[in-house]
Amino acid sequence: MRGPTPTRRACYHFNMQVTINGERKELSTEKSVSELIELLGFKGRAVAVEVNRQLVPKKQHETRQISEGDVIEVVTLVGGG
Amino acid sequence: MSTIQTDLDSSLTVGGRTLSSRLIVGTGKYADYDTMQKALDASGSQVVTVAVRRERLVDKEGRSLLDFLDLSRYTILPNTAGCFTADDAVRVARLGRELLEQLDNPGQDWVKLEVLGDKKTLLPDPVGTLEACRELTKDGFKVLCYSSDDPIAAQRIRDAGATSVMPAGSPIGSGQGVLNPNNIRLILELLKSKEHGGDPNYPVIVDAGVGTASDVTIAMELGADGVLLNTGIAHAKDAVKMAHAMRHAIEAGRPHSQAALRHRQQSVERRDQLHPGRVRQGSEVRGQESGAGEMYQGPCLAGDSRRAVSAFVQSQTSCKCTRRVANSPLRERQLGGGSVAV
Repeated sequence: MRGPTPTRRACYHFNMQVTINGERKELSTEKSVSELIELLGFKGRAVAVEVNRQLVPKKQHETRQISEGDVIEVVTLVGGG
Repeated sequence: MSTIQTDLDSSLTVGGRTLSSRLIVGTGKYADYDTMQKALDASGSQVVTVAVRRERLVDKEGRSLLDFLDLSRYTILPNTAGCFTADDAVRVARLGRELLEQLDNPGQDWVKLEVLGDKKTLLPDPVGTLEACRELTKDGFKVLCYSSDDPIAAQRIRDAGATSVMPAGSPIGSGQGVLNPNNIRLILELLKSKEHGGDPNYPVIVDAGVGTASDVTIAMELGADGVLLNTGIAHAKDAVKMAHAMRHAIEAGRPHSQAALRHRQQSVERRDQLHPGRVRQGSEVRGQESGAGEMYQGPCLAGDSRRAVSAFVQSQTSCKCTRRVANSPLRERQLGGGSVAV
């Protein structure tokens, strides 16, 4: 009688396709909005984030997770008339 | 000798706030951030406009706009420049509000609304502008709305809830000045006169196309409550001096508009008899802008002669500043007839 079959740990390569400021990007790990801001080098700077054309207020940055296919805009203030 | 104090009516009330200056200045197109900072200071402006964009524009030292703006001094007015639909303009306005909330700036619920209809001329889309104005007003924004100089369009925008209507003097960046003063007068009459159901305190701010100090004075003499400009200062050969000129131009034009002529008909007759070269309005010292020497300033039949004299003094000061920048590239474009700046 065969013994129990050892469980194979499932292995997969995390790959999430998103669009950030008009460019297709791949995220290799799950990210919250605040983690994405840090990844883009904007930590500590005033930036506003939109996901799928909806504003994500700063108080939701830590908890809101990025999903596959999200279209993300990260904007700041620049000179203008 | 004591100085007679005259109320020059230099403060502007818009959106429930009283501002110390009737000049609003943009932060774009400067040669560098240091020049921008000095020009804003020289302008005396309390409100400055900014844009909302993806990329953070940094100088060689990695500094960005916000490193050069004293947020405790200036109220930031985000614009929706580059938006060609009402939907985009509403989204950008909300992003701007979010940014100002993070920065804790008083401009949080303000927006300079622009919904453009054409990429080359940057003329406003009247339909998109109205849609966005209604939506943003409902969302609690105080909308300072860029408009054409069409008087009926201005009325519709006011009726849609705009806190201020900002008619263009001429296309954005063109430096062509106030091309149609009659339309500006009509806008002021329709929006501010009681016989048309208007409010004398409703702010009308001329925005776009203002290129010279005399353009600013003309706008104020027509009765505008303020002027917004960017390119006219930023593209000047000496932006700081030009900012000084614009500041004095505002201070010249406002007292003039307040100093009503006592005997209007008499002044018209007298005007026909005046010796050529006699100056009647502050804006008529613009001869100095093209390099003329001192101007002869004759008497004026102003109902408030103290304000009128102040206006002339400020005009002279303004022209002394603009005379030194008379050779700026922007001036050359204007004197050559002015094409739309891209």
